[in-house]
Amino acid sequence: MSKESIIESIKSELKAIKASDEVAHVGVVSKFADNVASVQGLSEVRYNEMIEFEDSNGGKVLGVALNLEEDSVGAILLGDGSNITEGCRVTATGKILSITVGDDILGRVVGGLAAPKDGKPAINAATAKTYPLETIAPGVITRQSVDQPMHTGIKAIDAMIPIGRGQRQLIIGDRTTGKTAIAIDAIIHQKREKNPTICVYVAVGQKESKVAQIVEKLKKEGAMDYTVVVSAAASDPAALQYLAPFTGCAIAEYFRDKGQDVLIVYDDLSKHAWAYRQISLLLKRPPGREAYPGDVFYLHSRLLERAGRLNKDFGGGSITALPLIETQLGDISAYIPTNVISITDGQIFLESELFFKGIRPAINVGLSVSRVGSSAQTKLMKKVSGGMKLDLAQFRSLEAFAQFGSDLDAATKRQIDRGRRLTELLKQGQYTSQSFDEQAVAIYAAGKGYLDNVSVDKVREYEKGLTAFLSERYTKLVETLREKAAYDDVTEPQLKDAIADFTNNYFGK
Amino acid sequence: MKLSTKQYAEILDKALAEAGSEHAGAVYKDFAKLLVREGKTSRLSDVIAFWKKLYNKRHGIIDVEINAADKEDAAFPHSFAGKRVALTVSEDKSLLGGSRIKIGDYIIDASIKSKINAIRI
Repeated sequence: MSKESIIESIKSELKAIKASDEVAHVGVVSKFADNVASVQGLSEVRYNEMIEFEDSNGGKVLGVALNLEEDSVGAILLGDGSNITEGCRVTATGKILSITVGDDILGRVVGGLAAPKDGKPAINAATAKTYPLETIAPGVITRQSVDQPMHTGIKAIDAMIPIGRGQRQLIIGDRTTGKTAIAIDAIIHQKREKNPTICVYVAVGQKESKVAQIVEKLKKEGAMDYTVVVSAAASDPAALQYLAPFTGCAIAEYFRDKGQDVLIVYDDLSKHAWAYRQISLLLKRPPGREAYPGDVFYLHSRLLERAGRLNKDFGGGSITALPLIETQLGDISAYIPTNVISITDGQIFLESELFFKGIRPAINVGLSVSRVGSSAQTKLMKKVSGGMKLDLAQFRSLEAFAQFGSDLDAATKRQIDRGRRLTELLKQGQYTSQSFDEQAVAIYAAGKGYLDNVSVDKVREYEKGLTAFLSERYTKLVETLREKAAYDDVTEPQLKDAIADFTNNYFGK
Repeated sequence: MKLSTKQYAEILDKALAEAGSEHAGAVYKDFAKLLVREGKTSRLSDVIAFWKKLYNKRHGIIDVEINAADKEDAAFPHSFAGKRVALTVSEDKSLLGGSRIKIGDYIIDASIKSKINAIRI
């Protein structure tokens, strides 16, 4: 290549560059502490607009304008603020807080603002869409009632506290009672379901090691293919912890708008409320009960309102939300737990006492409810689990008398025996999800009294044997149950015969 | 009663307007005494910044700062968007050419430096 042609090509390259004069809307940092900045100027910045701080090293740090006051703008930093000084220039971006999300976000681990955290390349912006973090929840016209089940693969939940697609079901309990375990089991179980579901797991204020463990487990189980993990760990700025659930929700909305079903887990909203409390207090917003700001209820209600099922005209997608709340010493009457209980469509209450007794999942059946899920249960499950909650409730009230043993009348004794076997049946190890037909068969057997002659410690063995037996010898029946989920005059006698066959001729023989 | 930055600025503004330019010195002294008595001297810079806004608003003045590579080249009309222009000009050789103009909260960057930065890959 000659000298002239090189010069020519450089000239043409330079001509192609359009360097127009830039107009920027700016302000200056007047105060900065604890990742909260007070900015002079920015007179026309909008609420929740992204702003850019130029720190003293020439680096750029993103922030959000949160307090618009007459003489200043209160903003929170979304990154490292160690080089911000007084007098730093702040530029408004003109963009409301939003993320870019595309199909290739599946299987990724991203941060509080959907930036990759797993060392892989960024989300392909060409195919991605921009989704705002804060949107108004779908209105009445666009919604449809919850009528399809969202199976978790956990017997106690699918039978007694069923969850439907589009429902918001709270998982609440003390620390180490298995809240996350239930949520992760539900995510892993989705790969066995007929209707594919996209899962979003939002970790707020969790230990990085715990998130890494969860990601590893999801990968191992093959669940990462349809899952996005949004992680704002304990070491991330409080602002990112506050925004992470909204980021997760925006990702969920992207898939919902494509007509898909999404399951989103918020782990957990207690820490989210803490992060928001920290930001609010630093922004000098007046503290209220337990020092939470006045709008902490609205914070969670507007987030959870975005879950729900859209009707056919609007794509028919759904977002099912599983928020988690950590209680202190089982106190569900504290501020945040009562708030979220009243927002959601039901709760799964976990108790440490049950957990240490070995009843896992440690679900307190009496305090757990699902307000809309029963209309979404399959007919089969609904029929077989009908009397179960009552049986267990009666068992609990009689349990105290169990120590009197032989002095009890026959009916009471029978009820206690039945309750013990049901409780044993509902125990289920972590990562051992069951399809709803397997669950239904076991529950049917217990309800019809086939377990009454099986000793308590043999119950789980019986269940295992029964499932294996049916899938081997009664393949057709199992298929019918799975495909049609029907419980009628044809299938019921068949099921009964099959279970009787197993109980009388095979179990223990 | 606790006074806000805005209220202090308004007090200063009103007092200055009533006193007129010949008694301004006495107003400054009294205002400084007020701030000392209330223990609000740390707020002085905020108050003055706010007072400047009030003053500009009342008199229809807009602040324009020009940061130019060559001070001699800097020029700006005396009135802009129907407002009187209070012009400050400073020189910054590192801009290489052109200028950076700040009008209110907006900056128009027409410097050669920023254009070169934009080309840089």
